[in-house]
Amino acid sequence: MLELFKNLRQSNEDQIDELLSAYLDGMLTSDEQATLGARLRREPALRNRLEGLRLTASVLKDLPEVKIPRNFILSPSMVAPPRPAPRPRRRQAWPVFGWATAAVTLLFLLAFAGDVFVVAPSLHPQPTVMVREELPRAIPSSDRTVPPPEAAALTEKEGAPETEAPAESAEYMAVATEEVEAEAKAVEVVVEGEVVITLEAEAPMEMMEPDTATAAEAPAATVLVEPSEAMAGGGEAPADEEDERMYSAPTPPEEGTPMSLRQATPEPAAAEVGQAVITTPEAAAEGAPVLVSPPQGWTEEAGEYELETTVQEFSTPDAVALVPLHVTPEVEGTEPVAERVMPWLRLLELALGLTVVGLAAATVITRRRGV
Amino acid sequence: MDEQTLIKAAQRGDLNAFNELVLQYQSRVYNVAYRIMGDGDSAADATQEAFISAYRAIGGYRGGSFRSWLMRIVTNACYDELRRRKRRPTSSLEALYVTDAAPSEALVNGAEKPEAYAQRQDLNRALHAGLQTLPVEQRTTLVLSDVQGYDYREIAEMTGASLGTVKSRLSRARAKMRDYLLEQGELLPSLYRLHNE
Repeated sequence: MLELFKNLRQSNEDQIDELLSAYLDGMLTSDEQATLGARLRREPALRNRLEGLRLTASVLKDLPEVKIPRNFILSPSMVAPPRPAPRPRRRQAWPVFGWATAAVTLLFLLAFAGDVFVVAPSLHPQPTVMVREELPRAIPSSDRTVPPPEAAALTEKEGAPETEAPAESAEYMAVATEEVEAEAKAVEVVVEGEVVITLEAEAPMEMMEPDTATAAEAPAATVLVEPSEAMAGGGEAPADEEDERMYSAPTPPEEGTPMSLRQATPEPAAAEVGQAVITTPEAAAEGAPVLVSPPQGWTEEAGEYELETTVQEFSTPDAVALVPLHVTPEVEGTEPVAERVMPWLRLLELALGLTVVGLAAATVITRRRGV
Repeated sequence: MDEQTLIKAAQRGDLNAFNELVLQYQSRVYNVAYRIMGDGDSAADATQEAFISAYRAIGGYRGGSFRSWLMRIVTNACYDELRRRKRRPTSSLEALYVTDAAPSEALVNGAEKPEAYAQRQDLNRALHAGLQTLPVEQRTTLVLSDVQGYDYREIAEMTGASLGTVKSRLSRARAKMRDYLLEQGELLPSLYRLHNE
């Protein structure tokens, strides 16, 4: 309440001072001046108030002028157009987008490489089997027409007692072929005497190399692999059974084409698991297997051996080359993991690819705008 | 050359012509700046900035009172300098009041007694200090009106305010200055005595 009274009083005094100040300067209308004049004659306090304002204005007017410290004339450099202030260096955004694009691209490439080289191959394991390859029969110069082989048979070469050993060990029956066709030949592969795999191959047998010899590439070859266990006590496989598991004539060699053959070495007594058996048509006809020494590099676990790739002529009309195929025994439990990972990996590749495209576009746009 | 000729020449880019105008107005401009800013260095900076701004803006002068046009630029330069000083307050070793460079003629010729001269100097210092207690808008209006002698209309042009605002600011400034002087003890009676003599 007191504050309000003070404000009202102050406001009233301000109004009075404003009237008096304007009265001093002759800024009132004639009516206002007459009215204020009458009040001034009646109110001494109002007159004192007016006198105080008048005196203050008067002494201010008498303030002396201060001497200037120097001349303020302008020089050309003072009035030169001001240089525009350098634009603050803003952190540009496009380099950030560029680095992000590079990083995401690297991640995408890593994911793609993992897909191509790790996950995808693990879903399609390559079997390795021993493939008995029927080499094209070397047709004597006197007689090039050789009937196709009809059946595989174990033949016995010299050192017949040694042939008994195969019965106790893994036997590899080789079937000689009399003619080798140039067209694609199926290769029948018997793994461990139980599974028959038929493989298609186009290349002639003479061009085969051991490390690339797969069931699909093995030309005209027939292999019968019978582990010793399977053949324990079995002795020679019956020809009929062999017929069921083997087949057709391989591609006949081109005239003069040398063939490779690892000749059987007559060590039938040392025949063990892994020994390859090579037979000739004549020996096959006689039913005697021809044992050969284990190929170099043969191991029981690997179940493969290396075949000499050098092609050389041989005098025997028939020969069998063993073409290794690679078999990766299936290990239970690995496939499901790859199958589980594949969809997620593909999804990751797709996401990373889209991100790369988006970041690359953002980089280009921001760089063009100078952001 | 007369003022209008110099102005036209300056508008054509004649710096020498503008400097002629500077020489004519620099004392008045500096004094206005000094009473508003309160110290000599700030007043000199504001004065220099005002003339530089006036030269760059002279192309926009369309006639009328060149003095009012120039004082508008001066007051704006003073306001800008005060804002800068407020943002970066600096301590000045110079005394707020700049004494007159030369004694008054009355003292020199013996018309004014030394005691009176001393009292006047005290009064001038009090007035200058009293001006610094006012708000800048009231201070500017009081300086332009009672110190420099401009009328209400000119003050309205110089400050960019309406006549009513000028009247209000001036009345309040005078009343505050009166009250400040009354608080100085014996000063107001001296004022009466000096004024009446």
